[in-house]
Amino acid sequence: MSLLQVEDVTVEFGGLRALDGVSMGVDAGRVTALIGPNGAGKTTLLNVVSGVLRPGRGRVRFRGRDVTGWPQHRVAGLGVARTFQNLQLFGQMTVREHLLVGRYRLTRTSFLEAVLRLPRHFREEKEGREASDALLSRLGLADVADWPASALPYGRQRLVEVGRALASEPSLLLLDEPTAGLSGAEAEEVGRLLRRLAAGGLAVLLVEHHMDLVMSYSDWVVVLDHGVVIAQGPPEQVQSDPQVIEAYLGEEAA
Amino acid sequence: MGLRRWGPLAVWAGAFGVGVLLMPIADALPFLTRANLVVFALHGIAAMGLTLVMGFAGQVSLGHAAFYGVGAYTTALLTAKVDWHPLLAMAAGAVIAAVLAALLGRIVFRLRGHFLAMATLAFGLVFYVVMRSWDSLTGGNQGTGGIPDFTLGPLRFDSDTSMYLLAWAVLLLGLIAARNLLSSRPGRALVAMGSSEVAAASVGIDVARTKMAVFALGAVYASVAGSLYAHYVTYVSPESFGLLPSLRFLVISTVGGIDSVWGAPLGSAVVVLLTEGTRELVPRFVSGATGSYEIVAYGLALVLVLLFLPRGLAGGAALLVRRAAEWAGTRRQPAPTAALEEVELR
Repeated sequence: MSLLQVEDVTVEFGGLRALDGVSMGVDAGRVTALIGPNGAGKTTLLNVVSGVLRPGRGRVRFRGRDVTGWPQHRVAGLGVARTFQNLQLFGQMTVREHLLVGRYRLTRTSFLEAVLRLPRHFREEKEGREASDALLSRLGLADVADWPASALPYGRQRLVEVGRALASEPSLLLLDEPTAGLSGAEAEEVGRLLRRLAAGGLAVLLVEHHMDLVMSYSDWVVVLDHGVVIAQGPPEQVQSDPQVIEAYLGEEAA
Repeated sequence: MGLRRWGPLAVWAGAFGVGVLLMPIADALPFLTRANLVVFALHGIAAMGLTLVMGFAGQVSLGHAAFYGVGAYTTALLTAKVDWHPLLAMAAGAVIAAVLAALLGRIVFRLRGHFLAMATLAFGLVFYVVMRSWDSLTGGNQGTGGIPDFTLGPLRFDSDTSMYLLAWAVLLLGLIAARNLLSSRPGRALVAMGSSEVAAASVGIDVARTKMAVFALGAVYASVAGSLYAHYVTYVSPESFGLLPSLRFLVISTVGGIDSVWGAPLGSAVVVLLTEGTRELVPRFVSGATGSYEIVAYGLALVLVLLFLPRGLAGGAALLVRRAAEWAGTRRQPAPTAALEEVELR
């Protein structure tokens, strides 16, 4: 059974059906790409999985557990991390602080322990700092650890979001267009990072527009169009699917 | 890092020293009395609680004076009527304020923006009306008096000077507590939440619960300040905890700057000077003028700060310090913030 299973999920906004009976799975150790024309419902699906949206119908199971309609923070607490299409960084925080916040679910220091500076605070700060610095090095962000994230160029801000998500040591990572606004070389970099993460056992669900990236770095591709899964399979197979080609060409013609 | 960590406390120590020097001569100075130095600290402590709520939970509160009142009335009733120790009464007030705030938060945090502001306004007014109407308990409009001096072991705080020392010590504790909190797991969660709730929730932060917690913490700050206030003036009446005092806390926090714990003391200093200034100056220029002209001055200060220093005086000061550091460091190495301008210009 897949780590994440989406079963017959339907979401309606007013009269508009954003997702219509979507079923799919995401496995550990693989990069699963979710593609489709604009408005196909890709971000909506990520929002359902991460608990931002409650589906009108259907179920979401994570590790076999039904998490449909759980609030966002509880889903995150199970080890589901995500990034956002329009960056959601924390205003004044430094890059390292973003990663420390990312570790929230792994730590326990309470208000009182923090104010009184009890031992748990110091222990968790030390652990957090070591773990964050290691992750910063892996992401190539060590040189800007103490910069305000907002001062970084766009591409590296995206990387900070990925870092914040990874800092929570998730087993499922949801990425919403992580290469939007990046240069070709930067996007390749992200692709290689995803392969390394998957090789380490992480399940990655990637929403992506960048077709080259999808075809070269994903193991499995799911194609959404108007809220319906129109094809899924290995990249080379999906690439030659006539329905997929039509969905994309249809969009370009419009 | 060192400056960020210890700078504010050094400033506090400097201001405290100036206060000690001013104490004997304060009453002779224009716009200043010894009482002002005490009131400055009390308002600073209470407003620091509001700063945490507004700056980090991103929630405007128009009823903060009610929590100040909870502390003041709890202390008044428990020390004057049933002879509790002042510290115990203060703790009781803090607990009541925290519980009230958590309950209120549970209800009103479902609301947003204007509706939330209106709900806190309503809470403040309800508190005011209850204190005014519950004659048998609170003495109604007349208020309740006979509050004994604050004592701590052999120490008795019965003068302006001793209350000054006490209030400033508590202000310092409040600053340290807030600073400790903000540079830790729960504090970073607050900052994250104030910046993006959806991103905060995405790393596992329970936004609703965290908001309640910070609301309760803000109420505790106000309540402790209120308890000290009750001992200081030995008499409490509803007028001190109505809408105008709530607005005053809002002005203190906003003028001082809501994304720094340092904002509240700065804002409090400004508001004390404005209050005393208008009280002394307005009658000189407008013959026969009486009444609360300070509210006009509050309004002006608020508009000016929001226009020219949207992050308040603390934000403005931080910017100055950074600019100075950049200016001093330009030759040696590019400051990290240099890139900030480029990004913002784009």
